[in-house]
Amino acid sequence: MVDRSHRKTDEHGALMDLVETWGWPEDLKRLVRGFAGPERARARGEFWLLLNLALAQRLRILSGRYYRIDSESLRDLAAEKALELVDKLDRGQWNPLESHAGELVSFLSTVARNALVDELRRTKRTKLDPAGMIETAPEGDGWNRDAACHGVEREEFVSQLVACAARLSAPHRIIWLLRVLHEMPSKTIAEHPEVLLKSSHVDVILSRCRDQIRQCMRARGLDAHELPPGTFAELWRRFRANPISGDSSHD
Amino acid sequence: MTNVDDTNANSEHLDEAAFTDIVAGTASKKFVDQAFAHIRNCPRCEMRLLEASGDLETCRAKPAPSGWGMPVRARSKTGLGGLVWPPRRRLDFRLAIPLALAAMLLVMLRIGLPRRHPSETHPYWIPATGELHQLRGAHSWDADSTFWQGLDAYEAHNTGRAAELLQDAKTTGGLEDLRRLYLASSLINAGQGQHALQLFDELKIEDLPAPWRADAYWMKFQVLAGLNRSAEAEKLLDEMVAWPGRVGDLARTARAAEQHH
Repeated sequence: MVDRSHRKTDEHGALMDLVETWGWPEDLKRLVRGFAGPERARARGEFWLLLNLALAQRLRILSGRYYRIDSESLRDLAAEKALELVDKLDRGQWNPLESHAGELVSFLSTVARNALVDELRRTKRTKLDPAGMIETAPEGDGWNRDAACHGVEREEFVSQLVACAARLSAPHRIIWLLRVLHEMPSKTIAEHPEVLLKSSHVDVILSRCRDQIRQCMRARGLDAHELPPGTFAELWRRFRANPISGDSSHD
Repeated sequence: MTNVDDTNANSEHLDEAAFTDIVAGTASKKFVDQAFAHIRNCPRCEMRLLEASGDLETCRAKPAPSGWGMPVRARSKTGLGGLVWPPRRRLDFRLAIPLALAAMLLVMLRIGLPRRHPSETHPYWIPATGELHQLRGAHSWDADSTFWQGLDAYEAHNTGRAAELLQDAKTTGGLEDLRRLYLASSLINAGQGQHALQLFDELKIEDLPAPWRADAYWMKFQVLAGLNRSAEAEKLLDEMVAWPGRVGDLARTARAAEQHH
């Protein structure tokens, strides 16, 4: 259980009241219990993904506070630690079922912190001032904040872009979204289980998608280069908000 | 700690645990709705949402350690990338005794036959039903119907029919490599190793998508072993025994059997 007793003000409480505890630690435990059941392979596959995700988020918290580490290294580090943990789990040296949710969060935070310290020693990265880490929002291509519009205008833009994206074929849209939302390189997109193509083919599809989106937006009198804040979140929620299990609980 | 204030996006933000829950799908709908009301107005939280989702998608795109991967993936009916699990196959115990007798008979028949490489005696079918379905959904425009019929025949282990159809099929792009791979596999299982080897020589195996790449190396090894090109076969086997996953397991079993022989 995550302690939420020290929230600052009542106005922040509305959202907090909806959450008694974070779902993912309990979900990790549920999946471990599934290792003994008929859906063992599925439970292990989902556990691997969720453990990676949780470790990556723990690393992000610490990385943002103390050390600068790029996303790729952070993901590699999460995978390295996840691998060690599943190895321990297989050898009976770690059992998440013996911890309650809060202890599990704390344990993974410790694993992440130690991993970051080791990484720092390995690479001799300079410790950074936390103040320098605060704002790293994406800028540059496709993220023109000056052009960000507000209110009804912005809602209109986002809904039109979502409509244009919806017109892409589903397989092409997945490729396009993996690039625009996550800036994944073509090689990684090509190996994504929902894609499985040559990276050269991915490049061709991306080029087609960009043209289609541009034309679609122009036809609606909008410029797809000027993306207001919230656009990516809406795209993600509309098209990629599938939980690890694949059961779309909040569509 | 999660703190959200829609009116002042810069002072309060969702924390990473919230993003883990949102991306993993373990948050309630009500929580997600309210969290998005904040994320829409907060570039920093939007970026963190995308980072968390990117962590998950990248993890999906990379091979999991042996025994920890999703066994089969296929496109969901909505086409939005959910996972669909194939129906579980259970052993029909009415068939168990005849199968056991047949296996014993095969073992007895094998005694006295000239020894071949252990791996060569087992037909190998590319075990990727889910990925085939996914392929069908994603690339139906890149091949004619003969190709898909050929894959149906391959899935039904109808070797001759699969080879015939895949030989005639018309494909473009990445599917051309997969056509050759499935054709080669059908030919191997039909005992036409030499023809299959020609196809492997034309294929750039290292360019195949990951799920098929290891299968291709394994089948090429089988062909080489079957054609008594031992040095090349051994070189491939030396590499594969170090691999994780199914093909690595097959290679290690083959190496052990080889040493036993």
